[in-house]
Amino acid sequence: METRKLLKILNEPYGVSGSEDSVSDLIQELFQKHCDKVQKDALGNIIGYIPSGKKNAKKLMIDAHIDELGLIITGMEERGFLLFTPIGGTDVKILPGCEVTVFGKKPLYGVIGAKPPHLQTAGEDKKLKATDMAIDTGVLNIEDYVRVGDVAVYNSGFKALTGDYVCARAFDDRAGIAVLLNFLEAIKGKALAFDIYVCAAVQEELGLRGAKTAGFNVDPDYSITLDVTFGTSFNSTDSGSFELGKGPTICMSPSLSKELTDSLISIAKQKEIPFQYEVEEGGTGTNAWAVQTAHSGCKSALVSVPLRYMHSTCEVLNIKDVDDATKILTFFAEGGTFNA
Amino acid sequence: MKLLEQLCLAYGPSGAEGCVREQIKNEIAPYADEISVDALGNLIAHKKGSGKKIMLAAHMDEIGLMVTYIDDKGFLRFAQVGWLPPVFTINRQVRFENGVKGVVAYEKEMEKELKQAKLFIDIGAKSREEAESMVKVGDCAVMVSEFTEMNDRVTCKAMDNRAGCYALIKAAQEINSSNDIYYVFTTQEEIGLRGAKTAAFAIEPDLALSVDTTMTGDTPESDKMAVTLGGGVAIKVMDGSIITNSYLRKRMIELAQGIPYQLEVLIDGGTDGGTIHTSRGGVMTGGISIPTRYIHSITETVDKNDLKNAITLIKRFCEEV
Repeated sequence: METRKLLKILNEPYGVSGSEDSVSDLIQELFQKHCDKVQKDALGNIIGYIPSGKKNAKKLMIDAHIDELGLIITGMEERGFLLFTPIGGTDVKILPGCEVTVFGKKPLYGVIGAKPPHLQTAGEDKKLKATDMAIDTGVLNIEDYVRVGDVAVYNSGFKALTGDYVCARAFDDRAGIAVLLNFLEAIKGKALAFDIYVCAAVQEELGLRGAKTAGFNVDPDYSITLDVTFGTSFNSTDSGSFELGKGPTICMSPSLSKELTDSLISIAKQKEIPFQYEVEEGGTGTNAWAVQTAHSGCKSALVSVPLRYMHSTCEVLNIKDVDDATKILTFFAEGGTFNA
Repeated sequence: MKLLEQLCLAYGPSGAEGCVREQIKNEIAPYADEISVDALGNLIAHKKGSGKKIMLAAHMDEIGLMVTYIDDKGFLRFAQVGWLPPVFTINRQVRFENGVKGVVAYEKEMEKELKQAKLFIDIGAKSREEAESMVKVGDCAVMVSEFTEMNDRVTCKAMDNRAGCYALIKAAQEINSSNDIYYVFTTQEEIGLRGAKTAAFAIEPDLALSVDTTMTGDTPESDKMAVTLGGGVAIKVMDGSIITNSYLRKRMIELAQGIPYQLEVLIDGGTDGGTIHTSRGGVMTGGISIPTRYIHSITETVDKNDLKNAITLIKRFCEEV
């Protein structure tokens, strides 16, 4: 599918960590078009399998996460105000003014409100906490529609900026999922060097929980995690952020396999696909960290799409980076320079 | 309430749960076909059945104070085992496994921000030698308190989570099911859900339920939380360690019809379910919580009716899930 269209479709369903069903249903359907076998595990991870047909082929797992940030209702106040706490790492300063949908008995439109600036005391805005805000749906008898534990999500969907720049609330990590799906299309009918397992993982934002059980279930020899990384924006520092449109990053880290990482780099160079070097001195904070120790251990690598304004309601990426990540992955799965 | 009292008063900080385990073993034995203790000290009571393999977990360990240093005058410095804010320990009596007693004090007048490093335990020793003849570095004390009934409420130390252990034992006495049930009394929950992790790995359950205490939001100026004491058994939606399985959650709400229940979102903290649900290839896991005020203090307070409702819901879960 055309990448732009795919990114749009993938940002339509909601999938707050722990409530990923509507997005996982879509992924399951899309995986089924390309995979010999698709299963859903006890935590909700969707795992697809494409055999290479080769005898004693090694297992390569490629994963991206489907969950996104959101809010969970913790209580209700008089006049129908809903109290909430964020699910996942949210900068609560961005919340006042956000439009949300609350998934109660039926979806309810709401806005997040906080105290007007006129009424704040000095410095109050700097200490803003989730408990200083509430969701206002206008429904007075809110307890008839919403219960403690229901989730809410930001309404901001896919928007095109100029050129190859696009914006949406959940490119972290639907961008990785888009790479995964385009990869499935690209390898169709091609000779593969590995038995391939693709995994759409749940609950990454809560601590890589889905990847842990998916990694155990697949028990791969090699794994490649597809995620997003910090894109350079107007106030970025030189190190630790990456230009949009100059290719995905390939991560070097003591926790990742040098052998696998080097192989991805040499394929990118050989095929002249743009990429950027990323360095993480410790944990990568991605599913790679969980997958590599899930069973008896595997060799892992990490490829990321640069993303501006991560964990906000307006994450921005460049479509070319998604396409370049797909190309690197495809050449790798076809054998490339890697001696599996 | 006699059993709950005995369980609460028993000595059992994380990593030294032996006394509690012996008590529970005696209570659960008549209702299990097999009983074992694993390498981490988890007590696993298995009631065999042909149906679903269900793991029920309640942790036995409580918060403790571990001796880190003994000074020349026989005073002990200590570290927290589990989350134990200094304000909960100052001027409290403590007791070691061997029966040695002591009191906790603060160096000078208490500051606005109390520091763990300024706390010490006085065990009545007059010298380092005398203190060393009574306790060693690495020994662990627990706080001392009385078990007290206040109308429908009971209060004691270690209600977190002996109340859960009590509920599991009482439920085991009533459960009549063909499911394959493992009653697991876990260790080291307070230091990172560690016992439950190995127990779940060994058992490989189809379904799991952790039974623990949770906080309430109903005391003066408390943080906002929708759980109230006496408001019914709490069905866990989320805490810092787990989002419970949505199918089990819905099923538990159905099973709770006719008894008071409330839904729980706990912003901090975790429960055994946290390590159980990510065990091996994943386990569908739910949580039942007993609302508890003043968690981790010596005055942890629960409501008898919540406890009764928790027992009923555990029983229904095992029989009808």
